[in-house]
Amino acid sequence: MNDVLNQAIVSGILIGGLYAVMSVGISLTWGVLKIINLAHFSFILLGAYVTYQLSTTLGWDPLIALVIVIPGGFLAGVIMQVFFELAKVDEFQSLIISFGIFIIFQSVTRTIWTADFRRIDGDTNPYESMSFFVGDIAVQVATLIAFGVAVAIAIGMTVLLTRTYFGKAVRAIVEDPEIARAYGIDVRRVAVLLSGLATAFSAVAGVFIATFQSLSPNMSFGWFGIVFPVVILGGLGSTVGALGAGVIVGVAAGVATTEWGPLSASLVTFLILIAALLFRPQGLFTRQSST
Amino acid sequence: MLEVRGVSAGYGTAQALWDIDIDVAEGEIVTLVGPNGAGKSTFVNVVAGLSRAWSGSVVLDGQALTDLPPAQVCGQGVAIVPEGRRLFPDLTVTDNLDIGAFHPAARAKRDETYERVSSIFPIVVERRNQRAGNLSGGEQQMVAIGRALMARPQLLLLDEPSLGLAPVIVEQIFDVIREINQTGTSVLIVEQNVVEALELASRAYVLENGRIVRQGDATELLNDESLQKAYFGM
Ligand SMILES: Nc1ncnc2c1ncn2[C@@H]1O[C@H](COP(=O)(O)OP(=O)(O)O)[C@@H](O)[C@H]1O
Ligand SMILES: [Mg+2]
Repeated sequence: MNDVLNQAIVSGILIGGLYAVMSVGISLTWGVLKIINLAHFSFILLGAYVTYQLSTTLGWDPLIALVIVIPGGFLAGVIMQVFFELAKVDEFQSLIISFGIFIIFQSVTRTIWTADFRRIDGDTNPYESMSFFVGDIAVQVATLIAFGVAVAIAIGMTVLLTRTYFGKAVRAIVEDPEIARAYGIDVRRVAVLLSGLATAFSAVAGVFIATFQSLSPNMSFGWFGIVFPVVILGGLGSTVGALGAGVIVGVAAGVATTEWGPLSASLVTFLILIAALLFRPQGLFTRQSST
Repeated sequence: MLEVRGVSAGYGTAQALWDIDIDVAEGEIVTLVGPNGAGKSTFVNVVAGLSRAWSGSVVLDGQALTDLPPAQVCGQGVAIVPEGRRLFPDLTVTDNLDIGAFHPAARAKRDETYERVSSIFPIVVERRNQRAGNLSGGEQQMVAIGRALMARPQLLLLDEPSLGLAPVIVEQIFDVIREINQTGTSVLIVEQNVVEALELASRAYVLENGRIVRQGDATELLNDESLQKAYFGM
């Protein structure tokens, strides 16, 4: 009985890494650019299907798909942000417009790949069945790699944001875009690059989903209930926060599933979202902004 | 070096400035004084490119700044110390200075400029890793001026640097402004603190309700009876 619980916790931590990668793009564009971009869910989905397609038709190792998916996601993020800038959309409008984009991609995906479940064939996907044991606890390699990527993104983004001119510009824009502009920061350019980066992260999440899950267009609806709790609990714009919150949500959902069955998982993540909004709207991992 | 001609500006349909002419010569300290709401900040923001002039022109060393975006105005050698300082509160002191050195020409000489700024304001070194939001008002003002200096401006715009500071700190800040000016930076300083500003500047403009109502030699205005009545309650 304890073993089952321990297994749920370890698996929850690891899947929490994937949740972080899925959430970090939305968190960044929302926190920094004030764009609530639901189209990130589409690019997670597209990242997954493109990986599936490359593996299935070309026989690629699914992780090689990153070579296509990262630049593709970046380009998509650039195009979206250029559009948002030209259309001068505000935070609320971005929610509505990007929901439209999401719905469009939803039917595009269904048209190309149908509503049937798709799964990369075991012959070309070494990660699906790969796992090892630590004591009695099974560690799935696919989620372990995703967790490693989540840690790398959190560290990489922290270095980028604190050590580079680009990162300092990003943080300056969050605090006072007008003065940032007055000191020579091209706010649009920074926004476009950041959106590209954020969307690339989302697309990368799709690659990992394809390595161990069956794909269907509707699975993206289920992601809302994971990503929003992670984004809010982690704090808008916080990559380290997304990792911490991803782990919390992953463990909570995993433990709930073992204790009360799979249906309870979404209830628990939803409760986490409500609790975060009520008690800690700025997120667990960010300082209450003073001044 | 700075020539402002016939500038009008405002917000929406509400006009805030009417037909402003102001000059700042190379190496000069000029002050623009006037009561709250006169349009001083609006004027500074127009020069810095943060607000658009409705009409008129702003020219720096023969180069028109009037319709340039603020990033390019900064690149042309104008740096602003905005009203209320407006540091980036969650950024460290050093990061705030680095934002000042953001535009390419300034970034290339960042280390050299940093040396100079830290010799003027030792606190930027002492407090380098602190959040700017945690500093006292006087320290914040020093960092805000330091941030502007990091841009290596030819013209420094200061919007009410004395706002909310104790008199002894104000004196210190004004001494530093004088020192910065002596190393070759021209200064346009906006103030409600009329006496101090007139003592600092060589020439002055008086702004009321969006119009220049007086201008001239700073010492002359300081001794002007009608101005004394209006501003110093004497
Ligand atoms: N952002 C704004 N929107 C609308 N009106 C403004 C804004 N800022 C200033 N004003 C108005 O413009 C006039 C000049 O303001 P301002 O330039 O801030 O004066 P000062 O700096 O001399 O106190 C005032 O009437 C003020 O109410
Ligand atoms: Mg003002």
